[in-house]
Amino acid sequence: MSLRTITETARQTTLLDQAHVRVGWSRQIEHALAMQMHFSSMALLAQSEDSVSLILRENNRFNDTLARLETAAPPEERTLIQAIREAQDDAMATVADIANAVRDRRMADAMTALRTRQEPIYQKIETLVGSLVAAEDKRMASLRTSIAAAQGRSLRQMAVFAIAAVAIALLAGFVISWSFILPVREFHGFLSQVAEGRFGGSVAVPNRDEFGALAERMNWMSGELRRLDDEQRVAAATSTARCRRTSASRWSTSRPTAVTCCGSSTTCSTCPRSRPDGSSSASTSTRCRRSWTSCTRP
Amino acid sequence: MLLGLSTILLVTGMATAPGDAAAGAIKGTVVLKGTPPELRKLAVTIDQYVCGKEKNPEDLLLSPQGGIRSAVVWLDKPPAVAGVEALPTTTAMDQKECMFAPRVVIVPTGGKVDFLNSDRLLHNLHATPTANAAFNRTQPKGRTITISFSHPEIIRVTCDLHSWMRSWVVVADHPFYALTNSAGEFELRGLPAGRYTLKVWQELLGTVSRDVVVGDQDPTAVTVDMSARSARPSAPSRASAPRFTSSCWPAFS
Repeated sequence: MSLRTITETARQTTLLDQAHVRVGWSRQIEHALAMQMHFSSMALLAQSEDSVSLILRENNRFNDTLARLETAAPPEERTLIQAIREAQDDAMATVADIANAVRDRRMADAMTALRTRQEPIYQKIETLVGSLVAAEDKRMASLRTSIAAAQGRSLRQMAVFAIAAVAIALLAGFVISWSFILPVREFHGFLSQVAEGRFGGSVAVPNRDEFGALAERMNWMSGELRRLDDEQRVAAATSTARCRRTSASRWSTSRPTAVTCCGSSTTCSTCPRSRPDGSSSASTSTRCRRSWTSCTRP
Repeated sequence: MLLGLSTILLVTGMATAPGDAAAGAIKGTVVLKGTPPELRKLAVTIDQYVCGKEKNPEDLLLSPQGGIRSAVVWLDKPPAVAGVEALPTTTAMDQKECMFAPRVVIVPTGGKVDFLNSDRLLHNLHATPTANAAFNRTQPKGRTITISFSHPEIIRVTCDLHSWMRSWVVVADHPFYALTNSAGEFELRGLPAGRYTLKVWQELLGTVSRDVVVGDQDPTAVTVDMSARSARPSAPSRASAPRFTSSCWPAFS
């Protein structure tokens, strides 16, 4: 619709420009007409070839401009221009008669032709050209109004389009941003669970994009962590039990042995020889001593 | 422009009818020898809706074989014979699309030329002959102006309003005149056998003479070479011909 409006505006602008050119030509015709009358009077006064040639030139200029106008005129003005053309044909013959009469020094004939033929013809042509100019002015005014209306429509449409574009942009931004925010939130919660050691959870991101792929890998990672954690726990429990059994056995048979259980509960290491009460001269870490104590208590 | 040009005048005689002393004829062709001159179009800046935007200079029209169109051929000292076909006393010359058509006409002394104007604008016939009366007539469309010519002369006719327009009226004092056609051919008939001096005039190349012997039976064939050096221009040269420009007309204001 906007394109149609723009196209229509451009077409009307072209028509306006053409009408303006035609008005210019019509003005030239009026001017040539006035100049012909002027030069005709001058020829009668001066009775010279130069003044006669000026009439002829103006008449041909009139013809030339009228022909251009005739070619460019819209169909509704053809009748008017045809009437001007017919009057101009009469004027052309009259101009020729006046010119030849001046050359022949038949001034009375020239004067008669000027007054009885040329003046009425020129008045007729002037009226016709005036009608033509008025028609073109009216056409131009109509075109201007039409162009102004089209421009108003165009402006309104542009405003509507601008508002709609901004709204669509905001909506699209909202949707797009939330399409990022929601998976990230899910990931955040999931990773918090992992950080707290709660393995085995899963994140629900149904996206078919990179977020979806990431969620799938995270779920796999969570499962793997859970599996490893379980294995670790089993191993730790087994180790702790074995350690306790070993410690109890050794404590009962050779108390001074330094075999103890260090660390949390999963590893056994050898501490320096010392007594369980820590009276050993060797440097023993407090942790080891705590473990010793722990270990020495079956 | 004209330097270096040369022409050939070919005059081919044909036999007259046996036993008829006034039935001989000269039939020939006028051709240009050498390099044809460069064709430079004339710019037209006024009345373009009728005249067009440019015009071909028609002061030297050639056929593909080099035949010169619109050259005038006549006998310098014609024989006094009766019953020879006379030239038409009235000839028409039109002004169409701001060009004279035909460009050259031949009329007998006392003959008339009907100048027409087929263009929808004013033309202005202007000639200043020496032997005949000068004329300067403005002519609207559709009006015919008849001009009489009473003395033999080659007259240049122009249009004051369109400077490229030019034509020629050749006023003949005897019937042995001919105008070459588009192939440069001409024919002079009704000649008794004898020796004649043939003259050929072309507006750009001037006038040349050639002796021709017309037999009573066989055709007489004569070939005449005519170059720019031998030409005596009686017409304005192409270079000096006025070229229409916008300065010829005052600007519309």
